[in-house]
Amino acid sequence: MRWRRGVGVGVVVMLSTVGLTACKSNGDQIKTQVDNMLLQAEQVPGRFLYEDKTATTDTVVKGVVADDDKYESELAVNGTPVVDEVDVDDAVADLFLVPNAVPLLARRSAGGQLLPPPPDATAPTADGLSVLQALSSQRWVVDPTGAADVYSGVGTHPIGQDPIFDARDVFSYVLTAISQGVTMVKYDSESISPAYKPQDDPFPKPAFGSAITRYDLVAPSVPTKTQQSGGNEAVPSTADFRKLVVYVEHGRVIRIMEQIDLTWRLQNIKSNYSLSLSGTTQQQDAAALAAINAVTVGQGNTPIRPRLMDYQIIDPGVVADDITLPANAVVGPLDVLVNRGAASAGTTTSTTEPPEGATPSEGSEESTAETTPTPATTAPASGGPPSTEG
Amino acid sequence: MTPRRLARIAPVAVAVAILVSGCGGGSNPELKGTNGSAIAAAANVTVPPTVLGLTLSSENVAQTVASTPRTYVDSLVLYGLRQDNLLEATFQVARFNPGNVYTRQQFRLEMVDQIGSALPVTLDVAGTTVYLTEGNRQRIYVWFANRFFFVLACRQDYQTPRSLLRQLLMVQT
Repeated sequence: MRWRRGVGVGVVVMLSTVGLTACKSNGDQIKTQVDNMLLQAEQVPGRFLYEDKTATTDTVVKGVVADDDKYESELAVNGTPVVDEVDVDDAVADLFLVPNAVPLLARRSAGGQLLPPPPDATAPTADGLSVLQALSSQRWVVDPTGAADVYSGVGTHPIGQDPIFDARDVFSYVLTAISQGVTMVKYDSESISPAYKPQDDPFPKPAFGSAITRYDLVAPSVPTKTQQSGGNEAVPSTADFRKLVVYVEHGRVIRIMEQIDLTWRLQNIKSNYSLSLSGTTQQQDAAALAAINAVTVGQGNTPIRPRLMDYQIIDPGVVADDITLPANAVVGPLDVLVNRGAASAGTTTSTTEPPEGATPSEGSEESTAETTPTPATTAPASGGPPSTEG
Repeated sequence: MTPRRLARIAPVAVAVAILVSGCGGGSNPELKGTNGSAIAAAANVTVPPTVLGLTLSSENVAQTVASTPRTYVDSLVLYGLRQDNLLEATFQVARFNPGNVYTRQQFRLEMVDQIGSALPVTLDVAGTTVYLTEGNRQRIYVWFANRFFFVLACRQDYQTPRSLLRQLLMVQT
């Protein structure tokens, strides 16, 4: 839409429009290329290092991924290892290395308040200890059916509430972030229109002649106060303050970095919303963030959370075949923790309906003759690929 | 949902176009249909009698299969996986007609799209590419190996579908 508004104004504007359109097309191609490389990287086993750094907390997750259902992680906060976790298929095991650290991953309300533990967290297990007691006394707890269903979108939560989940879900997060950006450009130290001005660019630059290529996400413009979004006043969102880069070496993603930062858009906020902010830049940032988040939360959306994220892929392709659940663990439900327990595993207990095509009755004899194959494999629907003659 | 989760195959219109080409025999001369009545029970498939406490039994689907006029498969077998009398999952093994088209990712993705009612998620489990989709209160896994393809459909409330998947990925054809 922005391009069309300029059409007819003048030759110069038209020429600019053509140029911009061409750039956008190229940017879309780069976005697609980067998307594809991220999708490939997600499939590769290996080790990773994930860091989420805010003004007050530096959280690091080190992990080993054997495959999409088998991985282990270590969570450290401000340099102190806090949690070890192992996920094997449906099972998840957690060990809190620091006493009283359970609230770090405990379930919270939408407003961020700690929720009371579910009754089964305080009930004695077969070992005599409750899950909460075991977690608080540096014992492994295994929940045989409680692993997070990372790929079904069940574990949606604000970023930062569960760094282990965030680390495992980082590719999905980044792909979504890219889709929210305007375009992507290849970093060029001599570019006259870089995605980020040098003073706003916090990310490492590839050395000249290096095999590493950096792709930069171009963020949308900060909206103006007259803009509307879904019937509400348009409020700046996380995407407007995002700087995100993807490092690629020999066609493979090796590192992703993101900064959510108000400072580089502070002047836009002030001018677009006719704000008069005083104090240091940091104080102005804080005031602007508080004002924006007040409206954002009021509209039912997730508040903006400034941070620096760094995700590094280490030893890609190296398969870890020794990831196993810990022995001598307390067995019990981990529902007390966010994204863990049966509620997070994508299974429910409210239905007894059998798989489609089968008609068993619970607890009684059934007719296997009514168990049918998956329809598309033998009875292709019209318009689908399985039918071959026509 | 993310682009990965959105990495769906192709819009329906495209799938139809591919089908028409296949039907015309133009772009996919390899494709050859088999009438349901000619589909045999899958040969050379070895499944364990029990998996994770579930008993596997071959289901009689001959009538359903025979009533289908044209398919891509020449053999098929369907197992029910039961805990006591409760059907927890079904496991289908089918073999495509001879040809190489079935090894193409695009074709496979279109197959998965036909089977599930949700955008499929591509997973890597035990070195195998597995497509996760959904049916009516079901979690459906689909994977391919040479001319064979496998469909594991679990009840939504079955507690250990991922463990079951890993076990069945070891089925030899």
